[in-house]
Amino acid sequence: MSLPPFTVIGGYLGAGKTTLVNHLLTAAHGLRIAVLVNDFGEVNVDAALIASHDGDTMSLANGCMCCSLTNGFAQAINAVLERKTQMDAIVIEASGVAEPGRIAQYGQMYDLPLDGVITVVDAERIRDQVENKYVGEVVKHQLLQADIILLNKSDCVAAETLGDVRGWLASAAPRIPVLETARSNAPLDILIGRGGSQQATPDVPLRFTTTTNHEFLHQTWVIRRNTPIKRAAISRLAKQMGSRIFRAKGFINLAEDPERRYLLQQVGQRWVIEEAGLWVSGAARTEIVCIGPRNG
Amino acid sequence: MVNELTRRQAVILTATAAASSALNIRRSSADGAKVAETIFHNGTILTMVDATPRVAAIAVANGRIIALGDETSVMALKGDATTIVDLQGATLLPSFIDAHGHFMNAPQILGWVNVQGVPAGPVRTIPDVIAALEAYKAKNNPKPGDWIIGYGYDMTNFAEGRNMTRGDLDPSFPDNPVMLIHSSNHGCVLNSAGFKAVGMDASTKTPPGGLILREPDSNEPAGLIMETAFLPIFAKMPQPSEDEMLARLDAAQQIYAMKGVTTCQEGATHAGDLDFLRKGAEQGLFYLDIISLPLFVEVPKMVTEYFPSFNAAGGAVPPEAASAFGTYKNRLKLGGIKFACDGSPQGKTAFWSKPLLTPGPSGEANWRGQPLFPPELINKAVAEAVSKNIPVFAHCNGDAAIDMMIDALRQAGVKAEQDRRSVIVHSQFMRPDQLDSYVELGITPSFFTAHAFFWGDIHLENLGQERAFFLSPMKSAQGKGIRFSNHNDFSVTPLEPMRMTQTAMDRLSRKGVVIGPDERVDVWTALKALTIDAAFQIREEKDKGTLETGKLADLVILEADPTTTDVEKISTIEVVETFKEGKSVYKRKAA
Ligand SMILES: [Zn+2]
Repeated sequence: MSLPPFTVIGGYLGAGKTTLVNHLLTAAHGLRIAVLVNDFGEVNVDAALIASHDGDTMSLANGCMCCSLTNGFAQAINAVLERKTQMDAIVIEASGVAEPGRIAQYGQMYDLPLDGVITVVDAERIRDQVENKYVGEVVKHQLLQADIILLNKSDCVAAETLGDVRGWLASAAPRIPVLETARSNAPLDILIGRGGSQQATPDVPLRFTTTTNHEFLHQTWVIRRNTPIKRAAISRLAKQMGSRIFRAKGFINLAEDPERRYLLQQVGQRWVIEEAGLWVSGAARTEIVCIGPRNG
Repeated sequence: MVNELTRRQAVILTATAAASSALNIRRSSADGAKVAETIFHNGTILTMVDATPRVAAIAVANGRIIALGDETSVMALKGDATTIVDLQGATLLPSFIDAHGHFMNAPQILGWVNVQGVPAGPVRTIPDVIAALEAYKAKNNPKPGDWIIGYGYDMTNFAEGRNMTRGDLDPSFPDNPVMLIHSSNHGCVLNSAGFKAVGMDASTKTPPGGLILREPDSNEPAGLIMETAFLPIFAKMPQPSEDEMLARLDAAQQIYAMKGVTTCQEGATHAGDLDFLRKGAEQGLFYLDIISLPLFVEVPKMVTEYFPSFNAAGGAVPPEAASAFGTYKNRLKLGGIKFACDGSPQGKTAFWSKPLLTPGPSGEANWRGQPLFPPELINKAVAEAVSKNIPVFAHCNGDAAIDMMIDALRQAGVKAEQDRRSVIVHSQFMRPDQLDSYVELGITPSFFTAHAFFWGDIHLENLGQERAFFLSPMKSAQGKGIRFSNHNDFSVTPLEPMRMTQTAMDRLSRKGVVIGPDERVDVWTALKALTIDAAFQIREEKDKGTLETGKLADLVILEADPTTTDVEKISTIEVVETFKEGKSVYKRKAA
């Protein structure tokens, strides 16, 4: 039985995690997302969207659901797993002082495939936060444990300051891709990888639904290769792409096993290659779709 | 040195007692009752009043003390129906106040088997664990398939020096799943029936951050599972029903009464626990006083439940809710709001300003722990409690966590003159400079000297001598004029007022190291931390904590006088009888 992928949203208090959660729950993205949140009271969902509200669980008309973490992760995840076949993705909002890397292990207790760790950063306050005597270390760990950093509230700072923060982040969290957002408005394709091989229909090439959009500072492109590629070369490519992409996915024509199709899924610097059935005859070719920051 | 100090103290006390018996008796004139229901005499009576520490007799009526003093004057209150209790040389003093613990753990562990090491439990060897489980089985006759759960498992207690395996448990428990919960609450040992019940076998993968010990030469689970392998299983364990829990409230209170404690604390109350306690109170099931401290993170939920029309966003508390604090209703009192800034020092999850000398819980270098909540969140909620005059209780073990709370209280405008008595629970690893902040802000610590015994050796290894020796710094606090209580954090350590007294005096570790010789206090101070100073902390010093006319007759009779007993024997002193407002709530069975 396939289980929904698990995404962790980390970041310090006030960075915009809750805004992101509201966005995931209510934006018209067509996915059924279960979100586990720390503070139910802060989740600000339009009453018209709420299908039912039962203590620590809220179900939305669009198929999404939201569970409170007040009684612990185990209780919340059990509530979600009761409906696992109805869910496309599970997202957990880590507390403001949690290390998202540790929270990522929680999902693995339940065999949920880890989809990614997204750390949201407040462009205005991050430099102060890392210097704070109580939380500075935790905030640094939150950056380093991210697959993708959302440099949020980028509209609240002057261009020059934003440039400084960007430069600082490149050294404080080296090689971790950074997406600038204003009100946590990151595209869903970057936030959530939409599952693995289980959901890949055999004959349709995988695509990100978002194309280059001038509103956002990102773009998509495709890497194609007709000749088989060695596993080592794929690993080199993935490693190289690491800091330059948010996500990549696609089928690979592997030189070591040309009969079978392999699926590459990458978020930031982390990737997995898994077997995904046989090629339809004549269709074997590598095609990797990448989504990454827009250059200039 | 310790003994010498104590004997000298004892001499002083005896001298003061002689002087005080010459004083007049203090009889209540406000109280109309001139006839005693009960008179206690012919033993040692410790009043816990500095000026008059000993009296010869004490008279009680209508749940309160109506007189105390010399034999003749107290006996003058004897009527036809008066019960005379001959102490026969035993020692009477005010019953003890649980300054911090978790009452809700009492009904919970009543359904479990104690497999802790000596002295918290009966275990020195693996067969001791089996014997404890077998005794439970013989007494409770569980049906095949019913869980048998033990708590306090720790291989460091075993002479065998190894972990238990399913093979140790299977012969005696073939049909009942057995779970031995690790003392850290982060793991357990299961038998074969247990593994079957939770659906774990050779094909189970070990999750990241978890541990499943496997049998040699196979992938079969051997017995111990920890962390992420354990947590999902534990969360799914069958829970006792509310009726079962209510039915256990008598036995739960007996855990306290048998140790001479008549005021119990539920020191981290979840919304569901408060519902349960209120139900117990409404049904009149409490005969001891219970103080509940709702957790600050759950306050919005409770406010929404009890005040549905109030907007509880951001942790705001309506004025009506604030006025619900501070008074008993059917023996249940909301004592204040509980905050928590860090974890535990023995689990290395406390929050220190400087790194430990040993690696962190997952092997981290330069580990100094982490705060549990962002300071902004704590500051805001503390300010709300302070503005509504709700007492603040905060769990802080490491000095950085203590700094966070000092900052929060200072930012909320707290000053000593306001007499708020904010309690920093544990105040375990303070820095000396923080005591000055306590004075400035009127903070009163609840210390945990039993740590010196239970974990002193480990603290020494993790923190080095300077920091470990300043654990629960009673003597330094006393030197600054700070009043403090002492606690067991039940059920983290067993409820043992006499061990608290002894550890406050000797601070001896299991290996025999005095954890901070300069912080040892005298017996009188140690006892005050369980009585009058604990009463001060919960703002009940007008009713509890000393034997004085007009106060509640909450009393305990000990078989020996701790002020004259050798320090190393104090923890073995037993309770003979316990009274709550004049009524006997526990009586030791005649030997
Ligand atoms: Zn506690």
